[in-house]
Amino acid sequence: MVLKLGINEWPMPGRVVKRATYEAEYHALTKSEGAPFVPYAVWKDMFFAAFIILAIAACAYYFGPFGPTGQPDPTIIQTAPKPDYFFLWLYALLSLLPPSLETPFLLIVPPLVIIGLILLPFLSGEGERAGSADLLQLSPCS
Amino acid sequence: MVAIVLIHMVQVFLFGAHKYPRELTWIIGVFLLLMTLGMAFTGQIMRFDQDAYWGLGIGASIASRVPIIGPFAVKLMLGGPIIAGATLSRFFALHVFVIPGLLIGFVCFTF
Repeated sequence: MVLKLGINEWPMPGRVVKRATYEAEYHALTKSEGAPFVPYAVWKDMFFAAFIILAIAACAYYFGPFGPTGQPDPTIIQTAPKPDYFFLWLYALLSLLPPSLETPFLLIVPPLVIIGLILLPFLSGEGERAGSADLLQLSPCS
Repeated sequence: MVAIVLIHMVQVFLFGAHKYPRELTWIIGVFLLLMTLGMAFTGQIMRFDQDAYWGLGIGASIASRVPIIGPFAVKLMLGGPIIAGATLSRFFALHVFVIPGLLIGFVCFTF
């Protein structure tokens, strides 16, 4: 899709995306200001890919492996297990919610969040690209 | 990986790159986020320590609360009535073959 549709242009105040005119404007923009991915932009991708890989390797070198934290034995109850950082919010939320709300929360909220994320480009598919404009467009005040 | 995906998603949103005509790219990005969270969860199981065990217990208990298909989902997830070797094999297959395969497929599709 990136090959077919091109890379998103830089957000500019006043440059508005409209379904009817966008593609012609984008082609005009690529003709006037565009530069081919190879060799003008590929170095950025290569540089940051290398940087991320080196950063992960450095973390592995300095911090070492995490865990294992103990035998996975259900008879050991003297334990305080907790998930890794990316699910800590869920762990905290579930421990704070009243038990009667746990099941409705678990079964309703995640699907709603996923549906909301999927619908996002259809709710704000036009207008200025800047995120601030988008937040205003989605907010109930607008 | 989760942190980098979240940072990238925020950047895409702030740059308005999800707008016309790149809606499908964003939707695939949402699936890639879910796959990444799946990699994170299954990766946590791979340590097979206390955190993994109780994390699986919570995951199975969440799955069991889904109406109608709950018990079936738990059996599918754990490979039996308890967390055991079959569970580890299933999560190994998910972490090493199934989810990376889907990730590669979705990433190729976005290009």
